[in-house]
Amino acid sequence: MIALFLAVLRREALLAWRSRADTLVALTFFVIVATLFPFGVGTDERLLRTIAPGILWVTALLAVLLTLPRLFEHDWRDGTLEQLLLSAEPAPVWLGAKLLAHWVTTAVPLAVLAPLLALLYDVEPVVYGWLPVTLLLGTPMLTLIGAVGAALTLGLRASGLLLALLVLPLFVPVLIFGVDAVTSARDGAPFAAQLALLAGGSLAATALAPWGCAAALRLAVE
Amino acid sequence: MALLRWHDLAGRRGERLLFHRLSATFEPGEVVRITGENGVGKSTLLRMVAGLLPVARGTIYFRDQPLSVARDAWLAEQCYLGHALAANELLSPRENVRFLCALMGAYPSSRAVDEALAQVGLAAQRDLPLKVLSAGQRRRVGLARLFFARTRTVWLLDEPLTALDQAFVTTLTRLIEAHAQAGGLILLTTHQEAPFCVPVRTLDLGAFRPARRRAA
Amino acid sequence: MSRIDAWRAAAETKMRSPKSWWRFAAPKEFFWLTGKLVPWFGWAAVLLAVVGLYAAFFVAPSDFRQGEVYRVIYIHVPAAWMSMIIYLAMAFWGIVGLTLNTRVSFILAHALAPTGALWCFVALWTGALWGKPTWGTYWAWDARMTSQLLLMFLYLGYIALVRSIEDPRRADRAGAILAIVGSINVPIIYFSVQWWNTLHQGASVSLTKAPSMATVMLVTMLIMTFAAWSYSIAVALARARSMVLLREAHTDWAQKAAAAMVAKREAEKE
Repeated sequence: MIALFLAVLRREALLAWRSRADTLVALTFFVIVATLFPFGVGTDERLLRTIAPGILWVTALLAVLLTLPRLFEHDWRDGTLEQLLLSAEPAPVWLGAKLLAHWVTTAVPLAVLAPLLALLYDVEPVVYGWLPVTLLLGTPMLTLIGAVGAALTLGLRASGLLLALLVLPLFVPVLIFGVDAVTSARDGAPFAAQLALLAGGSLAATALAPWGCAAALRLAVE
Repeated sequence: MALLRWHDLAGRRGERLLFHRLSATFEPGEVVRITGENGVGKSTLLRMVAGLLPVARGTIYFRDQPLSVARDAWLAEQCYLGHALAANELLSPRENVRFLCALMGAYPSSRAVDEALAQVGLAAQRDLPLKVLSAGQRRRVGLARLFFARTRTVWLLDEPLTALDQAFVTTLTRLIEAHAQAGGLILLTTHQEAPFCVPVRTLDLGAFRPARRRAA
Repeated sequence: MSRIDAWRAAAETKMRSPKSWWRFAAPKEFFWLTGKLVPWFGWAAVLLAVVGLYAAFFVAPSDFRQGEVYRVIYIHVPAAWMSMIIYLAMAFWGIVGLTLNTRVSFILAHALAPTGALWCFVALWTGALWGKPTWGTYWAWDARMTSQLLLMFLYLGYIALVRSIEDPRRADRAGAILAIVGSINVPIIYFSVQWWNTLHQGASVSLTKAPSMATVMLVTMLIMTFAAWSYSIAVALARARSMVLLREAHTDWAQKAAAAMVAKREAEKE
């Protein structure tokens, strides 16, 4: 099992490296959209500082959403998905490797980039630290729920938009607790509960999402 | 105890019933050609047997156990080669073959992989991304996997001979014969005549087509 | 795996027996049964709605704070309840369909979805209409209404997904998976929105703080709820009947039934 997990992980990492332009596009999207908001709401420092955690979280969330189709699209098209589904190992093994690789190559760079973007909003010092932490805790759940959505919409017309419709309402709880953790940290209020909920949600999703994902992938391949 | 047995199998694509009342028994050492015109359901049948499609009707028995019970054992003993190559165009033949072997639980040495690639004529191209290779060359990457599939008793091959030069048709048929002689079972769909040196059984899927206007 | 298979085999045997309730899992029997049921539920809905609306607008006393406007809760609250119950029902039928492999279960889930979405819509609009004269704003981002809005998106997502997939088997099962995932998330969404709302609202503007219920009000609310329930069942079963006919269009019984329906309609026109 571990051997297969590592083999899939290695392949995904290799593919992510060879198509690193795609990752850069997602990161660029993150940067561009984050810079859009001041054009819309004005440059009042206090306003920007207040809305920064929310804006950056929403933008990161949308960037994650953008990269979700990439999870299964190529493999489905070239037949690798069939072979994965036919492997003797249980699906969570290779699914876990795929999702881990995807998270590391997509969400982690976003979390690393977030403090740099926070500079544009001149946020309080404590936000620079906690924003990436909340992103790292919350993006696994986004990736996992998103993976189920990506599997359900695999190969359909306008699948990107449909995926967004399916998955964005389910993202709301993560968004709520992620932003609340950062703003509570900023305001000096306790925020351990929010962090715990984020972490707990990601763990629960790790346990449950692979079932839905594998079932949906089997349907897509029929 | 038959290795593989089909009982009253029916296959469907969408709402259309493609074939029905298909019963057959297969023993180790057999090479079976599934023939029929385009659209008769050869690929559907193979995918059903592999386990990618649900059975419309009937049961498939592997070593006398229905697939619903013996699914794990079945997945461990089959090797399915579909229409799609299962090869990623950003990876080289070497990387692709190693991954496909890993999916089968095989971890051959670099030398073994290189030898296999040499046998399918990809020695010089083994480190190039598949993107720059021709369709025929890409097909051969998928076939190279079969060199490491000897532990998989049942081979399900969907049109394996398409886009292959004559030399490689020979390589593949020798591979299939060797596997059959070692006790394996090979089911392949193909239009082409292949020069097999072992007796080949033919299963014409067209014979199982339902009569017109069949209410399911 | 084999225990589910054993149970499924037992269920399939029961479905074939002519005396068992399970036989209605077959499309033909289901079509017959719903044909009998729809008129009952339909008339019950009409009756209950007439009684309920009369009670809501003429019998129940007006609220000393909110005046006559509050009466919209007699539509708003049942609508909100139905929208949640129906989503759970969709998930339930999805689970039944996935375990027992019965097409009719999936069809029931598909048939319920538009009705559930409609109730969401009604709840949202009646909530807005109640909010404006009462608290001065059509939309106050309170926990209940925001959750209702997100539930509406979940419904729309389900309907969009099922419509986008051409293969009926994949559409059925994908919808079931989505409904199950959604219904697990509904309490999570509700909880998180509740949390978010208390942060941003403080002394909250709660559109669910119904005036303390006198017995008359409670009875009226129940009557309206039962009316909504009957209506939903009637409409969903009627929709399911059409879907069953469409799905089974290649079978003899369905073609005969459809021809009979057309003939009846022609006869009624004359």
